[in-house]
Amino acid sequence: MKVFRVAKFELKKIFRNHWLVIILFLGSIFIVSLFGFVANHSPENIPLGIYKVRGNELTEEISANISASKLFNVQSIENIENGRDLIKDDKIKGFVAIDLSKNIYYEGQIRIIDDIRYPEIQATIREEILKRTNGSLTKNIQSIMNNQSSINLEPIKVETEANIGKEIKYFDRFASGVIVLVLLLICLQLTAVSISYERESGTFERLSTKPLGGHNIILGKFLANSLVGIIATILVTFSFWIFFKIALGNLWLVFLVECLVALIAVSIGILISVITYNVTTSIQVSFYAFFAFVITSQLFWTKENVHGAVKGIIALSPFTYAVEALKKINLYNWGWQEIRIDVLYLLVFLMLFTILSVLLLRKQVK
Amino acid sequence: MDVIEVKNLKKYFSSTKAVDDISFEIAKGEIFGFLGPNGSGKTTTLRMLATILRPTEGEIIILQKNLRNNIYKVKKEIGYIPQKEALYPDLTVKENLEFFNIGYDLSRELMEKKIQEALRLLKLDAKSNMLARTLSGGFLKRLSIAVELVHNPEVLICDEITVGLDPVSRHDIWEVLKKLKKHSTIIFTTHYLEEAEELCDRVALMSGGRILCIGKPREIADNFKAKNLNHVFAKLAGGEIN
Repeated sequence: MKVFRVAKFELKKIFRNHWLVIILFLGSIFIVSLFGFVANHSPENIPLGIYKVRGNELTEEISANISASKLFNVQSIENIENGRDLIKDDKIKGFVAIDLSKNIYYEGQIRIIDDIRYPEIQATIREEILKRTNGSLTKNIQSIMNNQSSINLEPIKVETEANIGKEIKYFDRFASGVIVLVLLLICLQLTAVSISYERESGTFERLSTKPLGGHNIILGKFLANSLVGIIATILVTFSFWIFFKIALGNLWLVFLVECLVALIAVSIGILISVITYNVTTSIQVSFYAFFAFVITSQLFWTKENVHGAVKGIIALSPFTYAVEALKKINLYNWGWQEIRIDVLYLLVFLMLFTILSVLLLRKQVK
Repeated sequence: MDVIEVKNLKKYFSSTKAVDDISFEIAKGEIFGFLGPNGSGKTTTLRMLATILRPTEGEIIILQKNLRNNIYKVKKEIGYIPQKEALYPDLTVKENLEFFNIGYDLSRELMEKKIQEALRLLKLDAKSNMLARTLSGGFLKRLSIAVELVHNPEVLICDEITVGLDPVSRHDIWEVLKKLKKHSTIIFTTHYLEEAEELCDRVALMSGGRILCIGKPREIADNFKAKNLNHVFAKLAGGEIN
């Protein structure tokens, strides 16, 4: 088969380019590590102000509870304006104003004022302060109600669905998406200049005089680069697991989805190299494509958050389905039944991009 | 017998007439040269014969097959040696020969035999396992020629293949082309007029996308009342050689 012979030589070309291989694999480990450490999410010593509006026992107790948290590095502030100035000067990320009477059932308020620039820190501050104040406030209300412990102090209870018998860390929620994006990055690097480089070096023109056919060139390149993509898949997944102990579900399903991601990324890279005329343009287009996929992969923003006009684009991105499938496998331990539609979409995208590349190249290789 | 027949061939790039209504025939075993100043349409003509460009109008018939509807069959019978080496630097000499000939359905044994013959003819046998990127310019050119010999093409199309070579290497390549003439019809473009006089049975003089005349190099020089092709070329370019 001509395709396999083309693929054999493509592999030789890739693996003899030592710098390409080194940068590709070490680069992916570097990106994985960077992502893992940056998104590790174990904040500590967040500078926080406490403003005790009234001097009483309850205020002191709550203030002491908040100060005891390892998350915070607490300092006293004099008044609300002083707190706002300290936020402006980046001295604190927020402050809590404890304005409680001895009997909070009748009078009092705890105000949390935080820095709008850091939403993740905002969430951490609010969650931790609620946790640290809840006990004292409950005790206080119970004492007012003469120890009627039957009173339901939590009429609304919020729980996240994670009934899977394993601990889900903060980073686990992102890891599936990050794996997809790192694979996309590697495979785009590998293939986005594959045809345009041949155009610049003249080998493409020479090949176009041969009775080889565009489909043999594309599929040969696709096979060889897919094999490298699959090696990268294993490397990236195990790097995440070894370094950050990310939550993984059924490994066969994880690899099935990740391999499809690698193959789709390879086919997109080849498509970019077919439609762009030279290496510089290929690199430009692949950068834009990568960032477009990052933005629309639902890694940072879910489809409920985005503008209506972009919802269609999200539905047209294969990586949306890949991230979704991996989250189902890794976070919920769900199986084939739950991901089969996502896998079907991925297969359709794979065929679409590959056929498109072959057709467009056939127009060029007459 | 004519191996190549070209009738009323035209190639336009938007409003530019790169090749403007040319016709010629090339007989079997001939070495046929295209001469002319830069932009005269030589390379465009060659690229149409090599199936890289589609003509805007006109017919190209190679080995009795019209290129319009037999392009795949024609590709099997031709070899195209570009001006730029166009080889894979990370493949060895032998691997380059194998890779570019995947499309010709040669058996493993025949491919190996033909590769060895091509390596010997181009004096590359000692370098067969070297990566192409380690070869000097002269050897790269030899490899570029060898790539097109493995499938025994009936028509060999060469685009300024001796550009940038030292005189010894150029003469070596001339000798190779003379040997290949026994089996193949050779078409080439060149700027070296002594090369055309040395090698070509006939030449076509081109200017502004048109063929001004076709004939033996000596006849053309006589027609232009010039000492040799160098003087003809200078007249065409609007200059004079003393």
